[in-house]
Amino acid sequence: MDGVKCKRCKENDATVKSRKEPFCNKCFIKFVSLKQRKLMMTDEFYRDHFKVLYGKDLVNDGISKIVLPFDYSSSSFSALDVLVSLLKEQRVQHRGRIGFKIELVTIFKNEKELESFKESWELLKISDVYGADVWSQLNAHFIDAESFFNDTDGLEQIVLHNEDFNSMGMDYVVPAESTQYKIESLLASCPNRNTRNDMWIFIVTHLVKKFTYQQQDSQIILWAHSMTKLADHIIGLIVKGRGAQIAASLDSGKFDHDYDDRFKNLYPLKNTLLSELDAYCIITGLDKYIVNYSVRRDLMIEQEEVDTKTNDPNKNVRLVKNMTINELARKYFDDIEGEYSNIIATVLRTGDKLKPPAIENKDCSKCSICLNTIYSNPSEWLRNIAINKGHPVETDEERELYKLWQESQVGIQTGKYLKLKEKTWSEGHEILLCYGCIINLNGINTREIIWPKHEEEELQSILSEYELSD
Amino acid sequence: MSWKPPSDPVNTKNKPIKVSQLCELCHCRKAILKRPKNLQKICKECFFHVFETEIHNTIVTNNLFYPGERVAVGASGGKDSTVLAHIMKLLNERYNYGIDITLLSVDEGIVGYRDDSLATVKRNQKQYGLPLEIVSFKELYNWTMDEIVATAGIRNSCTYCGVFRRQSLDRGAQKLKIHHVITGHNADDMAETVLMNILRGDVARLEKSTAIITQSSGSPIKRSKPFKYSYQKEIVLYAHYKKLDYFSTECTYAPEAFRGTARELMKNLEAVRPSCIIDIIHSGENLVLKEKEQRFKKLGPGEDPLTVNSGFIDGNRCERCNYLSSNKICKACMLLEGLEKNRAAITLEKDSSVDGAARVMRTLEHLSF
Repeated sequence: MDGVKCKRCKENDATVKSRKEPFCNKCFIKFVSLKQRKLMMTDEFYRDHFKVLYGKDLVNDGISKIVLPFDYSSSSFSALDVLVSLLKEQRVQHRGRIGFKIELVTIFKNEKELESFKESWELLKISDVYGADVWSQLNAHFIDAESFFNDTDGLEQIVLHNEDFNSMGMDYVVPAESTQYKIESLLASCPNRNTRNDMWIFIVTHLVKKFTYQQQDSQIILWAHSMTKLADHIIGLIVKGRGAQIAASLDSGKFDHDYDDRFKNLYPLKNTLLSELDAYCIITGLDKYIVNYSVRRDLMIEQEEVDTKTNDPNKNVRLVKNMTINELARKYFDDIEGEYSNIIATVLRTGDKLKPPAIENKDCSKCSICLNTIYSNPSEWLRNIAINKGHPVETDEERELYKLWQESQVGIQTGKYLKLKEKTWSEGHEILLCYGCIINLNGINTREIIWPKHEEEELQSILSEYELSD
Repeated sequence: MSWKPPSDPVNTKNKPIKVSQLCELCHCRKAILKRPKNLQKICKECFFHVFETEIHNTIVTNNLFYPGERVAVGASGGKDSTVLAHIMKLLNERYNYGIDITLLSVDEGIVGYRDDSLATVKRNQKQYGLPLEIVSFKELYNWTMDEIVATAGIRNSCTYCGVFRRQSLDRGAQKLKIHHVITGHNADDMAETVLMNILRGDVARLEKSTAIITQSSGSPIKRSKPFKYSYQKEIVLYAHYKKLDYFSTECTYAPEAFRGTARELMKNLEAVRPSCIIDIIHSGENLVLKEKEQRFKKLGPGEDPLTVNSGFIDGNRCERCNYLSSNKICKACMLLEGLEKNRAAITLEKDSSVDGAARVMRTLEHLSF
């Protein structure tokens, strides 16, 4: 690609083309990192946590702890790299002093995944990407997703009523033959990828927030979500009936009320597209450490020719029916990008203009599954427009068929559910669920779920961590 | 044009019903359809029961009518408005709402499309024994849709049609001294609008997009949508199983291009999550914007927000036609002004070249070799 010069420095050859502008490596790195740093420094609260502080009586010598959820994707590595470059700058400019250190939290599904994460982390450590003085400011924590059920203060069985959409719960005792309730059992009971994905995202988010809650002096979770991911997330929430939660889920101004106001959630990559973060990792060479994600080279100029030759359009194409809501939103953005530009940014801007709706019930209640605020009565709303009671039995022939059904396998299974419902309704206690969780639970065959009790004690129960061997 | 309801299938043998074929709601009749809302396999009786009850609940919980109210059903002869007329008559009798129903049609002047669908409305009038009033674009604006498309092009057809039809319905209702118009807008339309407003960042319309009753301040006419929570596919199924007489051709002038992309996304989402249509409406009902002053410039001392912000006043009247308008001149008059400037100075006598795509389609349909 001879002749295309970087539009910023006008000296070097352009390697990346983003937002219709050609960049050289150096200018592109500056472009991405400035977007992140700007959002880290705009608000006073965040600025005070990232900058170097001077003075007497400073807690922890003025060094704050920043929690960085780290899933080994391009977004995580880009966020880390920008934070590290800021640390390096601070060391030089302030003669060895720094403003913060980073706690990286990784949630893993199984041993195999843990091994890949550890391997990648070790490779990064032995490479000379960051100096020794930086490594001392990075702490990697690995948490088993199973802690969601293990490190809690007891489980409960939540049952949804098949006709009126109310729910009740009872204490759940793990059967003697199995030692613990497993994530695997939960995901297996989900009817589709979409519900499984929903549950998994909640589990990861909750574990990261619980980890931060348990850190005594950590007030910021720095989520490495790109603009693209946040736009998927907004559309996903709309489509899942969780529109009321958008404002709270994007709020970085207030302390997280669900976790005792201990920390704030910051989204400093919300002005950067995922494709830009992919390009950032390619340029900085961090792409070789990425796990469970393939970077897209769409913005790389020198790759254009190679891509047209090697990229088979039918390769790894997932059928629409097997996609999750968020994947469908992403597909829509990809398909429409050429014709209607800036849709991703528009969606995010619209999301930022929203505020939580007024709470209809006088007592503010939380969903027992996803912990989100319940703004109106979703069961009542559904009862009116999703009738689950059929036309009555009228003739003798219909009575006979009904008897036949009762004795069949389907009838017996329904009977089992009805017995469980009866028992829960007579012995259990009321459980409040939000609209999105009611719809998820209604999709599960048995309309029941085993879930940790989210009480004060649950947040206190210490998460077990996997240490890295030196 | 006469119409005969389709006959029932004649070659059905009395095969014993298997348990797996039974309805998932009543468990005692053979399931004949998969309910689009939740994919439940249900029988005809249960389908009619749930479909009608859900609409009744929507009417009751939102207090759509009061006893003695005169109501106009916006009737186009299409499936939505035919089912609406049928079901309103049925529920009014079953639950004793005490409302007085009239059919109100708009003749946009689309040869080969609206003339056929109006014939359906006229049959519906007899079938349901309801009075009918027809208002036409030609009579109100001296333009037919075919003439508008010939002058302004097909790309803007929905803009003109939408503005004029909305006003025509109001004018028709006013003529009949009716203050409530109900339309067949369904859940799919509503969810599509919510999604579209989010995707194109139309915050001005975002909060209002799921309102079941809409009324401009100062307007004597209110509008409501009893099918707000009814799936389009279920409306079609209902019309099919009730053997209702409706006109099934879509308007031949193209839909808005951006709405088309939102519709495509909705179709994919529905394949993955059938409940997504009501889920989106639930979200739409809970979308609240931050206070405007946070997004607009600060006012100076003594400045009135209404005069500072673009002069938008709800309840104003158009200087030309006296129809409700938030601006000095209403949208319809503005569109008409543009059209008049471009109207051909000379026309041929008995010229049919302005008759649009629908006429060509109809002619082609009747060709035989």
